[in-house]
Amino acid sequence: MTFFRRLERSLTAVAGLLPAAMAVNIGVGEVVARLQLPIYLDSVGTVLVAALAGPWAGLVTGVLSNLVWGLLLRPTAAPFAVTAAVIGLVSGLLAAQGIFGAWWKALLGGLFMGLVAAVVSAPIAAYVFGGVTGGGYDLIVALLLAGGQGLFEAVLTQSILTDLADKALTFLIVWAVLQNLPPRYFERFRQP
Amino acid sequence: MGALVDLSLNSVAYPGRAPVLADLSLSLRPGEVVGILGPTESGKTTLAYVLAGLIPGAVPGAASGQLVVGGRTWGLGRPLDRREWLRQVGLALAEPYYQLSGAADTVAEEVGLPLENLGLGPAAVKAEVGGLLQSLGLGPFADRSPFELSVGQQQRVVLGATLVPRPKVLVLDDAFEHLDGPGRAALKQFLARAKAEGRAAVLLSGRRRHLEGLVDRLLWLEGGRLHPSPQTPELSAPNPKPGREPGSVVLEAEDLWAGYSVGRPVLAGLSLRVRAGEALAIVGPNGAGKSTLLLVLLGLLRPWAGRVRVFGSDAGREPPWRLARLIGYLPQNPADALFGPTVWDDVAFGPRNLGVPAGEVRRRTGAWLSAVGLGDRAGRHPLELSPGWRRLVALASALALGTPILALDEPTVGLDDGLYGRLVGLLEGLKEAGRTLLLVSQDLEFVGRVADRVVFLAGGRLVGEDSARAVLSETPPAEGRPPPGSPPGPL
Amino acid sequence: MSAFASLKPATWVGIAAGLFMAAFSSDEPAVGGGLLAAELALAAASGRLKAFLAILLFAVLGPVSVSLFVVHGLFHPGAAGVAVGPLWVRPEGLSFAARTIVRLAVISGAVLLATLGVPPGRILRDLVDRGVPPALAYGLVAAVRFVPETRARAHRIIAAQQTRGLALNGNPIRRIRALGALVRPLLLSALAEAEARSVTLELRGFWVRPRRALAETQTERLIRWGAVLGGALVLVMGRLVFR
Repeated sequence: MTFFRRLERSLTAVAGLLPAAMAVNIGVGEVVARLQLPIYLDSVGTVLVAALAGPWAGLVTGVLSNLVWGLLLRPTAAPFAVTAAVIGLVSGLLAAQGIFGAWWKALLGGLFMGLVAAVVSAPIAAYVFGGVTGGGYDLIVALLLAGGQGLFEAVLTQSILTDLADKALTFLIVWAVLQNLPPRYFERFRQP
Repeated sequence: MGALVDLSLNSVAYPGRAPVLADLSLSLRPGEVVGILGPTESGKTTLAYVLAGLIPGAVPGAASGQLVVGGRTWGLGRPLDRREWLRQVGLALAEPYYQLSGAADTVAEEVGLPLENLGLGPAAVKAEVGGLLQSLGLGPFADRSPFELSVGQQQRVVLGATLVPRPKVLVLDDAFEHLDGPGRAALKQFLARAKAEGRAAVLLSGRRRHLEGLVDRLLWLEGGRLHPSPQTPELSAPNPKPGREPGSVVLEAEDLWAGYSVGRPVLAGLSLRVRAGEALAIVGPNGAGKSTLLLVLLGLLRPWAGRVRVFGSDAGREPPWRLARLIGYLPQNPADALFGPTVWDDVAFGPRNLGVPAGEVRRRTGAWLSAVGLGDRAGRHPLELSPGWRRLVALASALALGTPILALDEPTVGLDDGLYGRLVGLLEGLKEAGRTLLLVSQDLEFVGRVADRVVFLAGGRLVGEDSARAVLSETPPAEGRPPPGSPPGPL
Repeated sequence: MSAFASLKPATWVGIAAGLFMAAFSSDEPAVGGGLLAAELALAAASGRLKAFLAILLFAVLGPVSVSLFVVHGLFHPGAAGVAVGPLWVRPEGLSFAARTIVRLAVISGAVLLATLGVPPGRILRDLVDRGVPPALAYGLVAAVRFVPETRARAHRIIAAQQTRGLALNGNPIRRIRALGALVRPLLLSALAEAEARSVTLELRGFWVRPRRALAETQTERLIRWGAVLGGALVLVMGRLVFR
């Protein structure tokens, strides 16, 4: 069976899960806004899919999530589809290594994921967006620039600061969701 | 004439679990409508899945046995060809939102989707769908998004998508709870036509009342098998105790205005007083403001104007988590807020938040879990339980707060006869113990049984008041019919 | 005009991809300006100019522009500055900000051309008929529909947990602890929803849907692939040849 044929079959198994998880990636913004926390948590659905159904399903969830933003009239998310893809893929690979077996493993995995995500997204943020997003983080970038850092350096520093916390929390939440979860969910969404 | 459907099922099991159904047989004559009554977790939905050819396949599991429909025999145990099966058996389930595919832009497209997937061209689909939408009362909504409709309308859309391929057998698993006037009429009409055309239907529910008047004969599902339906003992007739001495006013709303968008108040000058130990039911048509009133009382929605006091606290200003010491709340969608990892954790969540000492949290959690009948399920994950049991988990978690007032929004939805009886008994006990109850419910039988006093809400204000006895003796009004005393004109 | 309005979703995706690539071909303001003008013309030709401009200006460029001018006008690394009152303004930074805004407008505009006002169901059919795996096309389109309900559910969860005594104020540590009680139910509902929806897709015959022949003109195919190749060519020329 070719790779694409296999991918298609595994996607069919998770077809119901993909849009639900993507909608959570976007809908979780309501919770974050209500708590006024300086995080995004916008890959929590992607990481859940990756943990249940593996890296390829995670990758697809990540990419499509960012394309859906386009349909919801926030087209600036599209360039970050690259980061989302990496998050889905890497967290799926980490999950296969048993990272969701204990909370501290999930925490370490999340920190690692945050580092990777920052490295991938910093060039996009610096080059495509000039280092700003129109949000509160721009202040950090401005401070770092004023302190004499170059644009890429400043954006990378800012990304690391935010992504480490964001992905660590994301992984901890997914770990907690998987606790005592009825086995039928693992059966249903596991890749064939 | 021979049977239209002959199911002989050896066994159905989900991975790693004991069989849910075993040695079950079911036979339907052409033109027959059979009701299957069964308690929660008896395997009704599993039986519906088997008839619809979903196990194995879309639902992981193993089945063995055979199914004869219209003289042809299919072996169970391997996936069926859906193209063929859409014309044999149609299935609609509870919770309409989950049964909107998300693949269609409009109601007409959603209903026509099965035909489109069977390869019919747009013109042919349109011709088939048009008449069906009319008979379901969905004509005016044909071009709207199904996601914008009310839950009752969505259930009609789901019914339409199930009926449109003209299956020989229609299976409805609790798919009529939200059906309102036109929906129920359309369902009856279809069942009558199915009889005339020699088709058949299976209706499954946990509530005898939901099946009465729709089915030719009733079967009882228990222990994985079907039995002739026993006469279930009716709940004892309501027996309103002599009115207790009304206590002091514990909850008071005065000239309350509230809403979600400017210029469109949902509550328009509502005033209400509730006394300690009273069981007050709030009834009224959809959109009358019943749930909104609860939100304001709970501090979840700030009123635009007016005063609302709960035990002297200003509910218009206090944050909801402080009012949680005074009012416990069972929301309309309780499953939404449960997160485990065990049922025990969910019930202990509230008291822990309130800073109750650990020993007392354990005592309350254990006591309320036993009280609602969940003692032996305390270690399960909430997602392992049926919707009816999940509602009782949420109820126990509200009770564990130990509040003097309890607000329940549609507490009977999704409960079977057994759980319903349990709920009624529990609430009667709470009344005895002097707790104040606020009930929002469309289920007038329930209201008449539990409430002491009923207020009617319409257009965002109280339009009438009655003793509960009067409500019970009245025949349930059709959906949308204004309650007695409501002002004329559109609501 | 009507010719553009009736283009297939895939053709708009092709056009968007071409413009997206071209946006990175050069830092010259003239190139960006030209691309943006082309997008405005296309939006007008397909009768979507008003909505296109509104979203581009208010949702995309509004918030980012302010940040860009402030951050780069005042702190652009390595740029010379002139004193304006108490501030030290860097002209080079201002021009960098302007170039970035134009590029953002072009790529956002490209995405908008492909998505603005297109009924998602039409995109789904078009993609499936072109051989895109149905699960993939479905995921993209259905998610759009589920977002409003998921947001509403998030609000219901926030409400329900507060009535169970969960405080949402206080110091960040306390709010982070509250986060789990709000996000975990959201994820679990997504699992319950996923389970039910896979049954629904099966019951509607979604997986047996036949691929239909595409009624597509030669011109439309030409526009689509022309745009993709054109965009790629401009990118290569701009970055490798006319560097």
